[in-house]
Amino acid sequence: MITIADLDRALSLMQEHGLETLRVREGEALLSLTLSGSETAPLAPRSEATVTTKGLGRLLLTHPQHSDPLVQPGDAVAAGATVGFLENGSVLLPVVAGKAGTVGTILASEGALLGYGAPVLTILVEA
Amino acid sequence: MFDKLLIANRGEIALRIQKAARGLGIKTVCVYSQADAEAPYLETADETICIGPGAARNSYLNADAIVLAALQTGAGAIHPGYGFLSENARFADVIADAGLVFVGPSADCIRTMGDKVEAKRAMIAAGVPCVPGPDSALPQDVTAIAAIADEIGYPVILKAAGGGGGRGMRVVRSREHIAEAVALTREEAQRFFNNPEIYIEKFLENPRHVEIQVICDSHGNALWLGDRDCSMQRRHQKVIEEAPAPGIDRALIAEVGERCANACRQIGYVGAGTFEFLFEDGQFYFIEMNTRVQVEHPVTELVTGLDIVTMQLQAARGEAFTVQQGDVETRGHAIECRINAEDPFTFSPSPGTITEVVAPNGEGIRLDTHIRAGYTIPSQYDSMVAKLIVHGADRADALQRMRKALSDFRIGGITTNIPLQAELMNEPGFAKGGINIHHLEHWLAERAAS
Repeated sequence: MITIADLDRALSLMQEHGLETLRVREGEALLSLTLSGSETAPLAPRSEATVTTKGLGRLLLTHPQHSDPLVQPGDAVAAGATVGFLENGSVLLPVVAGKAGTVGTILASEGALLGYGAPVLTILVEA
Repeated sequence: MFDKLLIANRGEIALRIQKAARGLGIKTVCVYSQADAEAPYLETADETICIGPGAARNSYLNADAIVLAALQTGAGAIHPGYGFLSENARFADVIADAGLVFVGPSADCIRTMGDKVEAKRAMIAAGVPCVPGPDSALPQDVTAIAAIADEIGYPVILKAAGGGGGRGMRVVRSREHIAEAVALTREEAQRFFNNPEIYIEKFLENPRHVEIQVICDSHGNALWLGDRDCSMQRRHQKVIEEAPAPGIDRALIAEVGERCANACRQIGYVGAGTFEFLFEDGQFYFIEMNTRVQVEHPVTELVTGLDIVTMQLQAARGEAFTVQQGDVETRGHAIECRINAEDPFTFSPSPGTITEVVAPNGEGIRLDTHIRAGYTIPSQYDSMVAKLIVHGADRADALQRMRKALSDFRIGGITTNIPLQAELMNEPGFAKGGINIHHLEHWLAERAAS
């Protein structure tokens, strides 16, 4: 659980050390802070978008011919980027990020059978 | 032989199929649309999977998604219920191509019965009585058509060969209107059913709608399970159904029933089916065959004691029926009222959230429904929310039970047609029995005028 006091402390640390961005992961929560130059500038607001399936199949977060996952939390993704696949026999249906941003939380597990509209992961989107 | 069944439908019939499957030890996979994500019957399925958004064409009518769901969940068979893809030959083909079992007849049987001209030809060949008129599509030449109409005698009705459910039909009362009517009906047939073929039949003025239930296994056992009267209709939609049809000679029903079973043997039919007839002046006239389970199957189940959905699954599993025609008996009388979420007299739909359900209960009362308090009825689909069915020692007893059951039945939060059904149970024509298919519309018009 991240408290307001933690936020205050994180912000002073960032200002003290001249950091522009800071990401802290605690369990399923991801805190991402960005300072834009001046000390008084407001933090860029972010919204969270959920990437959902547009079909059904077994979820692959790693392409069968590669060893690394397509994306991991904290990765920047472009709108239209493939973040996973739905496997149906030999057919792979791409799961596509609707918006550009930073990958937040992975919500479904590798190999899970997902129906239409199932949440796969979240993307933190710059407003 | 399958031990896991995918149910490609929604609402009360999805629940009804689940129950039958469970009785046979078959596991169930319920597919659903996003609009049905909160449906109560999903909780009792062994597995569920969302196949698409609310619009039926992207979910319950998406054959490929349904077959993928079956393959991914390891279901060996698909039950289509009624409506949606239940009479779609291509769906049956896609299922067979995927190595799965379609709970129903072969795609060829569906195709034959879907083409009304071909169906009529098959029925004439099997000795099933049909409406007077040729068993072929009409020629192009208007003079030739007029000669055919003269021979049948006016009034006649023009129908689309690919049609059904009351669409693509036109009544012609005299020779001077035949040419124009043919042109219009052809154009509609092309537009609605993508098949410009039309055919002509004698138009019956005041018929009743009487149908014969059949069920067949894959070992040549074709049984007819009695008759139903579904004459209480509005805009070709059935409102009340009963079994048996009141006031019709049982020997005549048995003769027609035997011919229907014989037609099934001739075309190699497997599964449940219904032969729909018009009945006028003591004569049966075949109109169409429905190659699926009907909404009104429970009235037949109550009077015969047979479980039609279970028998569908047994037939699909390749099992032979143990019951034979001689064992099929009709006991007492059953009536079904369709309960719809709609205004009882304007018929405008009333979707919304149900706040309370008080179900009628007692001897001889059956309620097939998927609703409960807190359930929100999606606006995308059919407005039927329940089927109230009663069984009595005779018709008067059944009527009395239905009156009591309707007065006990309460659904809060939405408007339903329960008040209409309650009035109809006391309507003199229906109480007497033997009304024709126009009765309800006439009664509604008179009621509105007074």
